[in-house]
Amino acid sequence: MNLDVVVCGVGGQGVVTLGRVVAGAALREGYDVRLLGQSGLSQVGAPVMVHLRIGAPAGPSPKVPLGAADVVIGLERMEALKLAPYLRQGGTALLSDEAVRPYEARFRPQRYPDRQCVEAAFSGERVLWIPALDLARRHGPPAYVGAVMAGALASVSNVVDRDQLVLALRAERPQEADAEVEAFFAGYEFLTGADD
Amino acid sequence: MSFDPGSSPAPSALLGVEACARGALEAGARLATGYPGTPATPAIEYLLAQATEHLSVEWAVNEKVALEVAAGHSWAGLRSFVALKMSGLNVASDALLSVATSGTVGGLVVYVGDDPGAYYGMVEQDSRLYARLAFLPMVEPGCEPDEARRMTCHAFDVSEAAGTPVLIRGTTTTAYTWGPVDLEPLERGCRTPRVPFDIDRYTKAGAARCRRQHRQALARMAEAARLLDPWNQEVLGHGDLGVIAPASVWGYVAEAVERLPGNERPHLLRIAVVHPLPEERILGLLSRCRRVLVVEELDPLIEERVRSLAAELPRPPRILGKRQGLTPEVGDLDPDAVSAALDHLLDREPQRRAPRRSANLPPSLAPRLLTFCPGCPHRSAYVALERAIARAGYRKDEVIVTGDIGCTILGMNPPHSLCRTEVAMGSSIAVAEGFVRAGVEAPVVAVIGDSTFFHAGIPPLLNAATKNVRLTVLVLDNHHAAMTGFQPSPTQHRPIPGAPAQPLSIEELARAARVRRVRKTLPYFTRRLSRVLATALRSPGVQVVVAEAPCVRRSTARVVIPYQVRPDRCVGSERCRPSCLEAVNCPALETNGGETEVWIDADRCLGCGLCAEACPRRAIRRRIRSRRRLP
Repeated sequence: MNLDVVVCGVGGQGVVTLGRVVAGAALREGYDVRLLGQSGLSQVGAPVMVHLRIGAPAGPSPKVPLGAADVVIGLERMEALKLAPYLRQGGTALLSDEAVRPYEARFRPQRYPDRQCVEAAFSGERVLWIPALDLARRHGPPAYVGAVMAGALASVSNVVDRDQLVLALRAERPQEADAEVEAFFAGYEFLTGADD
Repeated sequence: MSFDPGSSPAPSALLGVEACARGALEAGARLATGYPGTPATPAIEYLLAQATEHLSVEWAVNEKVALEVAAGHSWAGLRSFVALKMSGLNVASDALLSVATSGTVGGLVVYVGDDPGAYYGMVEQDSRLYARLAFLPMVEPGCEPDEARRMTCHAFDVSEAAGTPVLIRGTTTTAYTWGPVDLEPLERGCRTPRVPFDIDRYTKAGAARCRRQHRQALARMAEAARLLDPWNQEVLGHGDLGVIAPASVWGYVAEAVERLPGNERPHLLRIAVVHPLPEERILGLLSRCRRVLVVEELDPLIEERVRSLAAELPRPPRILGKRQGLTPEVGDLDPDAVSAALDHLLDREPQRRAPRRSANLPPSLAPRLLTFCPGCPHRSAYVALERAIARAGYRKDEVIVTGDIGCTILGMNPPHSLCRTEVAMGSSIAVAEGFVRAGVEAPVVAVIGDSTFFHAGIPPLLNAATKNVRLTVLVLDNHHAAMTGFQPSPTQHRPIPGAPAQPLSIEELARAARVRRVRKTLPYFTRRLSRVLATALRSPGVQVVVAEAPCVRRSTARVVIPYQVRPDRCVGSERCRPSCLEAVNCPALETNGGETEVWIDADRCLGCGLCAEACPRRAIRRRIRSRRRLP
């Protein structure tokens, strides 16, 4: 069973941490893992992209080929557009509606994409919107959006076990584990609840 | 590799660059040094976290110093490891060539991180050329961190056996690929330092001596290449097609070849020793093939060598690569680019239809320009500089501001839009002097960070000070190399863990250089800083202004009192000129797209108060009730 994931967002949202949590969980389950974090600078607000390949063995290329990702996760609305070419046919896009507007877009709202624009970029593939920032704030600081999205991933893919994800989350962020695990389950239940 | 699922502890996994550092640790390196620079930074960071009594790890003041310390250490017979980014190797290159011709005693391994794709915004350079320039063997791990670990370990043995430094080349992709590694026990042997008197080997004066050293360096390189050769690897395929690629892009080749049916797979040569190239193996592959594709990132170094070797054969195969435009010379590769090149080699229709969805953002969208973090002292300093320019009676576009490497360069982006140039570490001061010498009438300001100043900013300051050029140097001292991950700078450096801090003083250095006027202030006191800067702009001679406040991401403050917008006073960003958004562009200020209302994200605000100061309607206030504790 292979799982290729591409995650996108901006610095400060915990994109690399989210990748580490999922990759750590897959390692615990005995999978081979490659995680490529193309983080930019350690600056708040810089675009970040992470490629994650899980399998036995994982795909040889550290970058996910175009049109091959089973799941793409977007933590920021405009950055999510970069994910569209990676999603395979029949794959799932998990997108947070959070908007981190560039300087110009603060004065010219038309220069920032709305939901319809992003959905159109995914041309008919399954797009699930998750109010990750609201869910994260209910349990702690905005940086918990990564945990919320990890929970959302657990509800759409069973390649990586949910409980292993929780363990990996606790291992990655030991200081603030309990509140962050609650945020994880908020993301998980938001999607599983919607299916019922 | 198999692991018990469930309760077992997580298996070890490292980044590729960390795995190289791990290899150095296992090989018994006793010194690790470098200067922060992405993508090489995590090597030293990893070793700092693993510090043992056997290993001393430090950030050097710059890469040249790091390499020289390591050279002395290895000439005393102990193993040493250096990690730097490609621009750092440029800084260290003067020492590199000299050390290479003298060779080593204890193993000396230098990790250099290249950045194809320029993800971290520097000149896209191919450091393999340095191996050729300095007569040094260079190996390159692929995207398996465990291979990087074993290769570095072996490089130390080879360095000692052949007596030459060994270069390890990482790329952003191989350095930042995280994957499982097998950890092995550390080498714990103890060596006594011994420094021999051998001027024929360790000095350069004298032509005959230098020629002898040159000859010896070439011989050592050939010996090292022989010892490292088992890292190169051939995979026999079918037919008369071949693919040659270095290990750094091997993952993409393997991905593309995996999709081919077994009887169509070409002969493959994976090159791990990228200098000197394994010519025997290349000739072996060429003699089997009619057409050979060479895949590599950046310069076509392997491709050109392969083409010249092919010309020696009686029936030379056709060599395909960058010359035919099959892969780009600019930017990094990806599995799809390699697939397309392979399809060309196999003369067939593209196997993977390009997805209908475009990879580029529509041009109608606003570009994401980097800006300072909320509460950053640099933002306050740039706002103060803008006000100082007005206070001194100039328009913003009249005054010339040169920028430097690091977070401080973000003054080039709106709303500040001040820095016009960024050259290399420390260059802001010398470039500014050049503008003055060209006869620019208006004031010229060089803005530089503290770590950059110590790295390479002191010589240009001395140059300007001795010539008494009219120049203002604004040093933004936040005690860190922040952009690369908050490494300590010498203004707060602790030489030995546990010893009291002995911070260096930029003001005292400037005074010792006979700078005309030296002033220091907190950047958050924007009014005071702008007064000091305005005086500096109007004054003759070199003026140094130090704006000192620790990086806000490493602040020791434990309680934050965020600011809030009073909706009854705020008229909205559209009707307000200049609005807080235009004046400070803090990421904690939020607008709701089309609507004009502004509010402050209380979770992101760190309470610097710059927006409150900028608000013409005094609509932004501190709210003590919403104070929050930081973890």
